[in-house]
Amino acid sequence: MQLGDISDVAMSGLVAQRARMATAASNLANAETTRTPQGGAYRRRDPVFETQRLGDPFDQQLGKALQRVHVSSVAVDSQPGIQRFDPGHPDASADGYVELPRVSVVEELTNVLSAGRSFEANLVILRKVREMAEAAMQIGR
Amino acid sequence: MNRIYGTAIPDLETQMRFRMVRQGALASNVANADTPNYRRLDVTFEEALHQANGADPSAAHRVTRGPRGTRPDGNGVDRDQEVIGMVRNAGAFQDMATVLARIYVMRRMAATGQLS
Repeated sequence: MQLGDISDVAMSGLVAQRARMATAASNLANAETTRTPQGGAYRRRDPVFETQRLGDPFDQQLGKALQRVHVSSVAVDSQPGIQRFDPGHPDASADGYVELPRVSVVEELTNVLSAGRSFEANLVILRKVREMAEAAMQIGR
Repeated sequence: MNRIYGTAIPDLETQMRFRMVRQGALASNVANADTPNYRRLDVTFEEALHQANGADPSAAHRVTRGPRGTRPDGNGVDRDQEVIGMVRNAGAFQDMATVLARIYVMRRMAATGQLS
């Protein structure tokens, strides 16, 4: 169905924003984590969004252009963590410095807000598409 | 039947199809509001093109691509603007669906001679 294809695009937006929310939550939760399986402090993560052609184009001209979004990969911060002098810390090095994640709480919270707003925008699209489908169904009555 | 309603029914159909296609373009913009280097899509309805092509609805609209954005990530989408445009677009679709539904009710009344 044609209106279903539009819902598909909005759904992709919901999934992508949820992924963004999840990485921000992970970054916030691990803002003080000094120990990871990979060794060293936690490195902040960021989803990489990429456009993706809609599999089943419903319009000859728009079909070639219509794009949904998907998370192509999750980028891990390559910068080393912040060094803080804390000799009593169990993960402190010999000279008393401990490596802390390079996570900015303000930046992550901004991400959470922005992701939430984008999620809502995609929800509005879904609701409107459903209303359009309902209006179209009224024609036959 | 066309003598009573003119070209109202095919015209409404063409417009509704255009509104639906445009909804797809705006949904694509909102979904990609945070995708780097995404250029916004829009669909314009071309009356002259529509007339020149007869009643071929797929030829009556044209897909346009906006410029690269000025944001650091090269994205040219204003999410709020897209949502407003999308709500208005859906409203226009619903208005036309209502008119079309009324026309069919009127046709039924004319055919059966009964009210409603």
